[in-house]
Amino acid sequence: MQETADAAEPISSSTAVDPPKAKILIVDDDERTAMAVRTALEELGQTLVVAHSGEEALHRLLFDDYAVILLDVNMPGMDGYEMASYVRARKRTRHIPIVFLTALLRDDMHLLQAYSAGAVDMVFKPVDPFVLRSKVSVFVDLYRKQAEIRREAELRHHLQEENFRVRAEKLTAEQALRRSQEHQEAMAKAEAHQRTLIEELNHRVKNMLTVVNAMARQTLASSPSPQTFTEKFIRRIDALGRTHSLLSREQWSHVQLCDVARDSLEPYLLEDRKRVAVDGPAIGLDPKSALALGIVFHELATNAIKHGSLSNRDGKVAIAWHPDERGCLSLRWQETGGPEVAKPERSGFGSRLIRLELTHELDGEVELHFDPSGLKVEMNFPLSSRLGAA
Amino acid sequence: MVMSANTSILVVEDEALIAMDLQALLEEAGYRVLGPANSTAAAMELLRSHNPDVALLDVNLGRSDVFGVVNELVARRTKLIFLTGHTAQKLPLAHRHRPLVAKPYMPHVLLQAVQQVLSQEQPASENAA
Repeated sequence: MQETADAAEPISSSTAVDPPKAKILIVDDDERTAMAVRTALEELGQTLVVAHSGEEALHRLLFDDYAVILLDVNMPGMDGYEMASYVRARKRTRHIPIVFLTALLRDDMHLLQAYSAGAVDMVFKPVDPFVLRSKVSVFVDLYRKQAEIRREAELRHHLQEENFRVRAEKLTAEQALRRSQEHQEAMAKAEAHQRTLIEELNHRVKNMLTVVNAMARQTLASSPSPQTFTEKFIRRIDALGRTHSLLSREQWSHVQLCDVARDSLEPYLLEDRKRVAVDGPAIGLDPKSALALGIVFHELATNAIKHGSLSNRDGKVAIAWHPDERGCLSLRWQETGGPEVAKPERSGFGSRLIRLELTHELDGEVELHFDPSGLKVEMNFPLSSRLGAA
Repeated sequence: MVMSANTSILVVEDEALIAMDLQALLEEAGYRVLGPANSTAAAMELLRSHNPDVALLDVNLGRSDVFGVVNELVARRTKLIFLTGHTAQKLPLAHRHRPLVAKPYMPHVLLQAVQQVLSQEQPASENAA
């Protein structure tokens, strides 16, 4: 029932791909008319499909799209008008031009009925091949041009989608690259940070070893015997160690003055609260100041135990501080109840160290009062750079 | 042998115990110690009224470094010795050729370094960096 003309397709100028052939549906119950129509249209080179009834034609229309329908008006069963109304009613076929084939008289009644049923043109039987071919070729051209436009639109759409896809891929790749770069930068930063930490640690260790050396040499210079040297040296290193432990607990940030005072005293002195009293508001100290004051408290306590108020059973020490209006901290070490105090003939290593810690490390000052009733040490140093989050 | 009597040495070192030790070592060897200064500001203050022969300089001074005072010393042609726990690579390029004593220092190494810079000829000219 279907034949394909083997005439060569014209080559489209716009694309290398030939446009698809147009399908033409011929609907006529009369075999001779159908044959005549087909013969007339063969040279158009399109696909010709013949249906012998309205029902068969509608069935054909379910599966394929057609450029034009040549529809016999007068058919048994479903006639041309009825079939045309179905074609017009369906969304898929509504757009297909219908050319009526009719043997009826060309009166106004019939023309009106045909056009109102959806015809776009009429061809009268007996069919004139030239007229038919001319009319149909107009619709074929129209169909193929529309098909070409659709195809180009699809191509454009496809290209656009491809473009979007490529851009999305590029974006994803760029994001991945950026993440990778950020990761590498973070790694490099972490490594640099680690190198800095190691250098800082090396420096601190070297410095601490130097401090220990200095402590050993200076302790030795002021020790009458190897026994006293060992005793003093070990206790000084132990006191340094206790302040370090306190700083480690606080991650080397700021530590409280009261903790520095308590941690640098021998533990037994604090068990009996009545002997050493520590009193003052919360004062945060940076590590350098904390280490300096730790040494100061240790030297004062050692002296008190050996010569001062902690050398007997009843003497006491009061450590008290308060910030003054100049932003300095006044810190007092007051001994009472000890043996009578005499001013030493020359300043020993301990008092020289206390002075230097105050002036050199804390940018402050210190006065040692050797009152007969007890040693009184008045210390004063600026807090501005040392006050932490108290 | 360079006579150490009346040879003055500026000591810049922020760590009290180390400063005390350096002072004791140098004084025992017969030098006069200027300082010890714990900051570049304190060192500059001392330089207003003194002109030391040698400067013994700790590189790291708490939050800052010693280089604030180095230009002044170079301009005066004071002989410099750096004292640091870091390696020479941590020094600015302009000062890497200068004598350096590593921390922790041995007293005799420190004194040798002082002797050595004192025995050197005064450089004909050295531009202040």
